[in-house]
Amino acid sequence: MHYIFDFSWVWDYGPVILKGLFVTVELTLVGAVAGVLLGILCAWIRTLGPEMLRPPVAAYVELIRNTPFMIQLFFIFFGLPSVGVQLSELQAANLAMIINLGAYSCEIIRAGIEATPKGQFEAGAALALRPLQTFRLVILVPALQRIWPALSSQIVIVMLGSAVVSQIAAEDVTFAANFIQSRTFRAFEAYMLSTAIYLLFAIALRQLLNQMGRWIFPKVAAR
Amino acid sequence: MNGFDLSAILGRSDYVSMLVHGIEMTFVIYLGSWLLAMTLAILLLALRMSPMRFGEPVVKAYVSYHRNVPTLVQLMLWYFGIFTLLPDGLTSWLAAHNAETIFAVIGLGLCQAAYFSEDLRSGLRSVSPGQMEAAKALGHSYLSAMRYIIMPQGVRNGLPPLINHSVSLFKNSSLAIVIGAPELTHAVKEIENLSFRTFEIYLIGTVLYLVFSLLIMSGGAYLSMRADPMRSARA
Repeated sequence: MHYIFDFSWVWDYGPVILKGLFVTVELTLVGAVAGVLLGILCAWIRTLGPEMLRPPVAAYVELIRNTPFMIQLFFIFFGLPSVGVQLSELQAANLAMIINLGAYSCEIIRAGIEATPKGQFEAGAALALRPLQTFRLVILVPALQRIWPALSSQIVIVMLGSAVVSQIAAEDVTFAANFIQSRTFRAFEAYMLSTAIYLLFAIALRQLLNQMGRWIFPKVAAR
Repeated sequence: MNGFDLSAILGRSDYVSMLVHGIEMTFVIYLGSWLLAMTLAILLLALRMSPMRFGEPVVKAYVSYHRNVPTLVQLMLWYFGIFTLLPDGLTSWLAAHNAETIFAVIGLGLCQAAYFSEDLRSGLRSVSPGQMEAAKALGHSYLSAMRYIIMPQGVRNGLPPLINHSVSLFKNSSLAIVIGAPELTHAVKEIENLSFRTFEIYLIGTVLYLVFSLLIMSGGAYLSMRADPMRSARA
C-alpha cells in the first residue's frame, strides 16, 4: 500500500468548503432554536395543555422518533411536492431538522417538567399566577435546567444528523466533500477533511452548550 | 399527479418483492452491525477497565471520534476512502461479495460500539462498590463476583439506553443508502424512480420503519421487564 496523500486541492476548493460549513452552521442554529421552541410547545401540550391536543402530539412524537431522519427528509423534499408543497433544498432541510429535534426535545423537556415537584405548581397558584404564567415563570426554567445535558447532546446529535441533507443536494459540509471527491478523485482526503471539520465543530458545540447552560442557569452551578 | 393510490405500489408484485428484499437487507445490516457493535463494546469496556495505562485514553479517543463525527461521513470514509486503500486482492474479493453491505455493517457497527460501551459502562458504574466487597466477603473470586453479582445488575441498569441505541441503530441502517447498500431506503428510492408514486412510496417506507422500530422497542421493553427481579414483588 503506497498511498500518497495529496491535499494540494484544498486552496482551490476553499470557497466550497466554507460555503458548506456556513450551511451546516446555519442549519444547526435554526434547527436548534426552532426545534427546542417546538419541543417546549409540545411538552407543554403533553403535560399541562389542552387534553384534546395530546393524542396528535403523542402521535407526532412517536412517528418522528421511530423513523429514520433520512426518510423524513425524503418525505418532505420528494413527497410533499406531489401534494402541492414545493420547498427548496435548504427549506426542506431546515424543516426536517426542526420537526426532528422538536419531537426528541419534546420528550426530554417533558421528563424535566414531570420531575418538577407538585408543590411548585401549588406555589405558583398560591401566588395568584395564571396557569400559563406558572408554567413560564416557575416550571419551565428549572425543568430546562434539569434536562440541559440531555438536551445539549440531542442538539449535537441533530447537528451530526444534518450530514444527511447532502442527499437532497443541500450544500453542507458533506455535500462539499462529495463535490470535491467527484472533481479531484481524492476521496480519502476529502472525507478526512470533512471528518475533521465535523469533529471540531461537534466538540466546540458541546463546549458552547455547556457554557450556555452555566450562563443561563447561573444559580444551580453555584449550588 | 393522479389521486392518492396505494394499490399502484402494493398491488404490483415486482414492487412488493423489491420492498421485501429491502427489508431483508435492512435486517441483515442491522443484525450484523448490532452483533459487531456489542462484541466491540464489551472489548472496549474491558480495555477501559483493565489496569493497562493506555487503555483509558485509547477508548476515550475511540468513543469521542465515533460520537462527534456524523455516521454518514464515517460510512463514506469507509466505503469511498479506506476501501480504495486496501490491497488489490482484498478489494476485488470485497467487490465480488457485496462490499456495500459489508462496509455498511463495519461502519455502523464500529460507530454504534462507542454508544453501546458507554451504556454498559454507565450501567456498571451504577452498581455500588459495596456489592463487590460483599461478594468478596462471601467468598466469590473476582471473576465469579463479576459473573454472578456485578454484571447482572450492571447490564440491567444499562438496559434502557441500550434499547434506545438499538432502535437508533435500526434507523441509522437507512444511512447505508449513501454507499449503495440495497436496503429498505434504497428500495423505496428505486420504486419512487420507477413508479413516480412519490408520496405513496414514502408513506409506505415511513410506516415500515415505524412498525419495525416500534417492534424492536417493545421487544426491549419486554426484555427489561423480564430482567427486573422485583417484577413479581411489584405486580
